[in-house]
Amino acid sequence: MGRKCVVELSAVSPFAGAELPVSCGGMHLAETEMPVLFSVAPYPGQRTAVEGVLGQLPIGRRNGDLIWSGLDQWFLSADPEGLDGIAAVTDQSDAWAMLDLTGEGWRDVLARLSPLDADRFEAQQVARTEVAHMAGIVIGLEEGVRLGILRSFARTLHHHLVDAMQSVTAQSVLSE
Amino acid sequence: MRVREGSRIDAERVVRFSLNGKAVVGRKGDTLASALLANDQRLMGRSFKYHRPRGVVTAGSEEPNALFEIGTGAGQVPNVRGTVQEIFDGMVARSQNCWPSLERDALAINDLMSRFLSAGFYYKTFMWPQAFWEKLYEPIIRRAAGLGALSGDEPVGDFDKAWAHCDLLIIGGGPAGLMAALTAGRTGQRVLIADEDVRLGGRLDAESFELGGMASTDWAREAAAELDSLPNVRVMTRTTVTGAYDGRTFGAYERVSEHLASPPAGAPVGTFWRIVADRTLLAGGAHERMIAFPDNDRPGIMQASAVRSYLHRYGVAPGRKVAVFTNNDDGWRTVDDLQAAGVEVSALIDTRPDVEPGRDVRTVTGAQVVATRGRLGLESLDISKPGGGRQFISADCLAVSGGWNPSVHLTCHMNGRPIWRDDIAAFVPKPGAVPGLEAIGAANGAFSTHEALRAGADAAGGGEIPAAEDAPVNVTPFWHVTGVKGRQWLDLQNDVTVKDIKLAHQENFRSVEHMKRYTTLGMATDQGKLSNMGGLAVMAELTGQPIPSVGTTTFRPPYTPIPVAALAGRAHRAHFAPDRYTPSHQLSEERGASYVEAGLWHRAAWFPQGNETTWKQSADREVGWVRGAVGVCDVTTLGKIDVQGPGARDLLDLLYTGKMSTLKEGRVRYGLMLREDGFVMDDGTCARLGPDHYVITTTTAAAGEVMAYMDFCAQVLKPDLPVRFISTTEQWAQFAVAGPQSRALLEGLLDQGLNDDVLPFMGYLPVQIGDVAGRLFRISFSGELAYELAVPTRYGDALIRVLEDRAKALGGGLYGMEALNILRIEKGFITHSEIHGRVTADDIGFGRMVSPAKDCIGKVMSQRPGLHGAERQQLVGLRAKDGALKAGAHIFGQGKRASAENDQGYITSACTSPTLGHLALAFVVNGRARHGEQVVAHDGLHGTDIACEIVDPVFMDPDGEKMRG
Repeated sequence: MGRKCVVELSAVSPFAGAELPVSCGGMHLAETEMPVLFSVAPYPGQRTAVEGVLGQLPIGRRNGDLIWSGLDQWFLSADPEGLDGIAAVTDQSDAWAMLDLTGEGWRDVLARLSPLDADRFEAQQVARTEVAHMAGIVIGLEEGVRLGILRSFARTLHHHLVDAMQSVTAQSVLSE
Repeated sequence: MRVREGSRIDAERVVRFSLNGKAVVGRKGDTLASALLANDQRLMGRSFKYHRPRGVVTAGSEEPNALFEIGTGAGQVPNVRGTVQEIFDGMVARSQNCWPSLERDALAINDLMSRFLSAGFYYKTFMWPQAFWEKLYEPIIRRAAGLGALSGDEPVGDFDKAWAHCDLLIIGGGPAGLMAALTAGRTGQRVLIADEDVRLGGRLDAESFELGGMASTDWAREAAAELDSLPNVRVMTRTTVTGAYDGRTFGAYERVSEHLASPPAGAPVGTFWRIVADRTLLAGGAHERMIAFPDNDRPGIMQASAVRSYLHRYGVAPGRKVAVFTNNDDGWRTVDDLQAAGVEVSALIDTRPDVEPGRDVRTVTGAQVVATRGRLGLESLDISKPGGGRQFISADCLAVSGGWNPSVHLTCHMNGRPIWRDDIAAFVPKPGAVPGLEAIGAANGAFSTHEALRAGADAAGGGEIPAAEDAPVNVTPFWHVTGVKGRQWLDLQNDVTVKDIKLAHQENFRSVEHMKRYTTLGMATDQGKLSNMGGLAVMAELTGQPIPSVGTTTFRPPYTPIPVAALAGRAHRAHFAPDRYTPSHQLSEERGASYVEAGLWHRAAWFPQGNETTWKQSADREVGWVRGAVGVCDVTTLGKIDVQGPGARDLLDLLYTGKMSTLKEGRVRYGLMLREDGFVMDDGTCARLGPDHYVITTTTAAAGEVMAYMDFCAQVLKPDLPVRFISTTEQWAQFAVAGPQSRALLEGLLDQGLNDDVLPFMGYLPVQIGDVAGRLFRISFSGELAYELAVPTRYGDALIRVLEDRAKALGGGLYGMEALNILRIEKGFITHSEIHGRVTADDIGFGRMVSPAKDCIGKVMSQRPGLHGAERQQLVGLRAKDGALKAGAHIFGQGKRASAENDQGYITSACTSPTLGHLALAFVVNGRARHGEQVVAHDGLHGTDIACEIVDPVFMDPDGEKMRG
């Protein structure tokens, strides 16, 4: 038989090897703190039951730990309980990589990465859209925006975000 | 020469640049053209075909002649319009299309041969001998023709792409656009006003008008300042709206640092915008037309409005003795403005016999220009009246005004054609040609300042407007002189004359579309902005029709040339597409792996060790490890879809050919999915993890496609099924552990027994590695005893390192895609090389996998005649003794000529196995009945013919004893 298993696996971030946090102009880019993320998809006819457990299910918005993520689907940034039989739940904690962009100029950066109406994007608003040519999720923060893409794309997101931050900062000094 | 202040010029700030190696001094605010004119340089370029000396004709982006190369080395940009390029210290400019110099161009000899070089000459000459075309004629013509040159170096500089949204987009910041922006901006609408020029104002900066009791240029400045102060108004200067597209979206190119000597680090050269607007006002103004007369292309002959632009914006008079030639009242202004600046006006020539300009200048009405002189620049001209003789006029600049053409281009981008108006002898935009867009002001044929202001205010909600001039243009059409010898130019950039239009007509190219292509009129970088009307007028005369009956050609984006790199934005070179990296990527880098791209993923192809120098050496070794000990491979990239709910079984039965609903918990089954038309879409596995919980896998490159397909099936075909699914490809890092020692490795790692009772072939088991919950599947793509172990992706890097260590301890190690491919070909396992979209389940030998007991997508269509039987190309194996087989080679009977009639099939996958020799998988007509037959694999691309034998596609262990254990 084999030897005693004392293997301890350590975790790495999706952004390992990428420079973070990044400060540029008045803007700040940092890895999002999101310890867990689960997908919750209520079965047909079970939305009310799910709301009884989790609270109101927002559309195109975030409501506390509940983040709308698409048709009949929400992300929950907390451990799911009480959803057996009324919703399909999967762990998505490792599937997504997210960055928080804050500080003045963040709207100009967002305008360079996605087709959203950057000037009107509000805190707690959620959009599923293209981010730097990748399928992504965009969540409004108080003074900025949270950008999420699938984990394997992390380096590409980081690269284009930093390019856009540098571009916006460089252009802000051009007065004429 | 500089005669006064200019509204754009900062006289205190000297700018030094060079043209053709010679130093030139200008002022901040000058364009290249205005700086040259200020230095009395009228000669600015050479024409495309005849290499005739040319000067600047306009003061705007419609410029046909004054094209330059700006910059050196990799930063060199060709075909830059001198009327748009702002000068900066150290700027290097070069004239194009002239050798050895602008003043002495050897190819001006073309002009002497103009009789032989008229429109379409290349269709009639250079025909003989035929062999000379490619080697001699074409290279010579290519070198002699053409405008600017590219550097050939890797380009420098980045471009951004960005989106903008607004309630009201205003294209053009002249009087109409400014008034609309003020009106809408003051009521709080979200306004975006874009102008291609360096500041808002348009013609207000170029005329001596009064507006609201002040100089028009001052009014424009105040209006711009007010717009800047409004938070709901976005002002974008140096921004050309380049195209109108679907969805109320407009493309626009913003010049960010093209005018800067040292752009700030990180700033792009330019930004390509996509602007989404609820409503749009086109206030892009109009272009002044020229009049054609003999030798009307000499340096010094320019638009009358351009003469005024240079005077007011830059304080420059383009000549010391200016004559004016006009067919409308607007041209007379030029006399007033020049005289007010102290410049001598030698004559005012009006084509109309019955007008009285009343200016203090030698005036000749009912006259036309019939000749000009001055090789490198205008020196004098002749005019004549019908029935009268010639008069001599001395002039070094001729200001020509033929009327105005509203700038209709954008309104044609969605296939609209403009409408003719007799009263202004011009085309105007067709209403509704672009949904949500309305043309106002001069762009809509309303040429006075008052009309422009009124239209702007009304379009934005109405209200008061300042007082302004309201003079009618009063144009009497006059397109070209007749009854005189000499070439009369229409398209200056492509060197097309009135005679060329007549020639096209004579040769029966009578449709306006044919005339355009035959003569190339309107096909240069200015898209015929100054020449189209003249061409149509000549055609109308020749065909005896009114101009609108001749029809118009169309305009396409971009409105003015933009760098192609701007359309790519940041998606170029290494960042052409997003990159996807596996959890084992860091380790692969440390091991010196080479990669293969599967979709957007980078997958390690082989891991070189020791003295290995070729991929084959590494791959053969890795194959040996898997067959003889144990290999570890990252298979994270395969699509994983988590399917849950009481309705999951029914959905899976619909998608798969097999009856997945009978799959027991803890078991895995191989499955095929068909398209609606009965052809195979994808293959993969389906694992049942719980009562209503499944995880299915897809091939790497089709993961997104299968996911989208499942969304369609669930939402459209079975909307009431209680089933939900989501991709978990990225949630789990997954590694294949394959080989005779794989069980031993995993039993040691997981500290539990894994015999067939615990985990049978095609089984699933939840496991723990320390604190981490993982999933263990017993499936094999190599044909050996094998497993796939999955953990949440954050632990993937740690796990693969542990697996590699343990594999090495057992005499094995990592293996990559090349080895994986050899292993699976040896076992006859198919990939999308075989299921390429044109094969059925029966073709690949899986006809029995289509369950007779239930329906599935594609089942009915798969039973159509022609999709079964001996006539089909069926999956077989091929073995060759004497040469490597290649995918793409076609199969022929021995001794048969390689022809379409004799074609028996083709190879889809091939390898040279380290133990079994040259192998291939192929589709051959009636292949299953032809095992043992000798055929030939013919590779036309590489010129090889390899004898091979048709065999069973499973080359080893046909009963699968190794993997079934």
